[in-house]
Amino acid sequence: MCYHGAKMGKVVGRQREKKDQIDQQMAKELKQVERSLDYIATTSVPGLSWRQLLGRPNEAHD
Amino acid sequence: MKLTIDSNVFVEAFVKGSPNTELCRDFLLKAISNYKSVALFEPALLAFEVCTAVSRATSPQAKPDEKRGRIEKAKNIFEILEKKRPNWQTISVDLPLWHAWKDNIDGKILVNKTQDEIFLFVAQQNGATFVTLDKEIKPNCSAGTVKISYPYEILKELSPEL
Repeated sequence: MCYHGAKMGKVVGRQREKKDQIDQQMAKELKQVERSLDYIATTSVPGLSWRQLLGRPNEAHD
Repeated sequence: MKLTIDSNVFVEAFVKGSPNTELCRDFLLKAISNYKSVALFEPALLAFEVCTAVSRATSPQAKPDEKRGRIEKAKNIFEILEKKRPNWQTISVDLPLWHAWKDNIDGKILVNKTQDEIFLFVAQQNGATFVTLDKEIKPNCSAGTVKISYPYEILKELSPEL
C-alpha cells in the first residue's frame, strides 16, 4: 500500500472508531432515559388520563 | 424527519396501564434513538408540563422524598435530551414572533388551550410535524397550517432503535 493509501486507511479507521464511540454514548443515554421512564411508569397512580395529569380537563376524546 | 411531540405522548408513556402506554413509550424511544434521521423541536414548556404531570401522578400517600425523586427522574430525562442529544432542540417562544403568528393563524387554527397553540407554533416555525394523542386538534387546524400526526402513524416510518 502506498503512503497515501495507508494514511487514508488510518483516517477512515479513526473516523469509524469515533462514530462507534458516539453510537455507544447515544445508546447509553437512551438506556438512562428508558430506565427513568420505566421507573416513573411503574410508580404512577394507574387510571389517570393524560388530560387529568396535564390539567386539561375538557370533553375531547383521545 | 422533523417532529414536535406533544406533552400528552410523554405523559401517556409513564402511566402504566393507560391505553397508549406501550405505543407512546415505543414511539418516544425510537424517535429519540434515531438521532441521525429525526430532528425534534420542543417548546421549553414541555419539561414543565411533564414534571407537573409526574407530580400529579404520584400517589397522595407517597412520602415527600419519593415525590421529589420521581420529579427528579423526569427532570433527568429532559436534561439528557436537552444537553446530550444532537437531534433535540428546546425552543423558547419569541414573543413578537408569537404575536405575529397568532394574528396570522386567526381563524385557521381553532384550539382552546394556549399550551396547544405553543406546541403548534413551535412545530410550524420549524417545519415539523406535530405528534399528539389529542384527536380534537387535527380537525381544528386548516389544511396547510401545521401537519398533524398520531404516534402510531409516525412509528411505522421510524427505523428500529439503535
